[in-house]
Amino acid sequence: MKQSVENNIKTAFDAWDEHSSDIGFNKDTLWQSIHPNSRKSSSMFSWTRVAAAAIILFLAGGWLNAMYTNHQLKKEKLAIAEQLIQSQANTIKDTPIAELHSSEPQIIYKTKIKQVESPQTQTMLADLAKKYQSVENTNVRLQQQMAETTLNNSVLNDSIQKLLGNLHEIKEAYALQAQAIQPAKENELEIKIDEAALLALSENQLPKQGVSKSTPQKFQITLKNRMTKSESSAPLFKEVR
Amino acid sequence: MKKLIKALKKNNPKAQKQLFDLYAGYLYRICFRYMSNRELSEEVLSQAFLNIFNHIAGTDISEEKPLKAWMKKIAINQSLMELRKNIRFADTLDLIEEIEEAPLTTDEQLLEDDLIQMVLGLPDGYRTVFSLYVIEGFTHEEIGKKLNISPGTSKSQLCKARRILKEKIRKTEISYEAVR
Repeated sequence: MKQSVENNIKTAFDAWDEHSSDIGFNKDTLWQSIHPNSRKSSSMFSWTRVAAAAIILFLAGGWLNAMYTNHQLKKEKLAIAEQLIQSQANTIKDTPIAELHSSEPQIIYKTKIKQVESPQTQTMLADLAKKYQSVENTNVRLQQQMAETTLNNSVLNDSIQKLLGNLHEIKEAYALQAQAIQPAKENELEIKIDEAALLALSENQLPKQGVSKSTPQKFQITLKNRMTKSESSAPLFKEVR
Repeated sequence: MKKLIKALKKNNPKAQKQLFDLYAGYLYRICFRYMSNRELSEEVLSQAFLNIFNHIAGTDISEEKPLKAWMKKIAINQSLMELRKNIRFADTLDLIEEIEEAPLTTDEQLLEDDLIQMVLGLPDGYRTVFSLYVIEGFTHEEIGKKLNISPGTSKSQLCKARRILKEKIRKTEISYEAVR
């Protein structure tokens, strides 16, 4: 009994087409050649998502870390402030007031001249420099004047000292003279005035008859020295006129 | 399947991948039947899938069977297009009188694998015409149109293919008898 080979071939190929087993070609490679962008795009998409998620996580972590650190620092700051206040209170209790003043920190201010590009600022700086220069000049002049004033003051002081010395000497000399003069007052000068004669002289009259002839001297001065005694007397009318 | 076809019509990449996974093997075998070369078959298959993805939106296919038949048709056409570039079908009108119209017959129950290997071992032109005529059921006129050859050339190619296969079957029968 002869069989149709061609029918068998058709059946065989139909069965072969429907065969589920792999026949050796690489499906993935073929799919990539068909859809080169699909894998890339999906992978790119996934990578983008992963990268975005990683960045978000990183930023969130950084933010949380910063927040935590900030919180901790605030806590530490408060604790330090409390400790500082406590220690200051203790120090104030224990330390005398004089020491407190001496232990104050010395604040040193330093001025730094920073150059600024702005022309307005440069102008202002130039003005300030001029003012500073003028102040410097004024300061120099004042210092010179002060030196001169000090010198003059010294000269005046010297003069005053000299004058005081002279005064002292004069006082001493005066005291000596005064000592020397004082006995003469009591003993060495004597003035005798004939009052009647003086009255007659003032009235421009001649002496009256009642005037004694035995005392012709009407004005008598006697100077007595310790050593010598001089006496002078003169008739009133004759000597005066 | 309807959802898959709907998604394919919207150029959904996931649906395209799913369709590829489902039918790549089936279409590859069809391409290989014509090309008889792995690399060429893969190239033809990739082109066939691109055509499927690009043109499915313009069809009214909504069921699996029509989809499968349509994809098979595309794979065969793509294979033939590739074959037309390389194969020169010799015009053998002088042999028309000798063409054996009767199908191949044998007394033996040959194994399917043997038959497949016999067909795949045919020269390109013979194999193509034989496959189109015997397996796909095209007429010589249709084959001529598809391959840009005359129906006579198609008949000639089929005749030669049958002669070669007849010889191969005879040798196989001898080997079967030797085994017994």
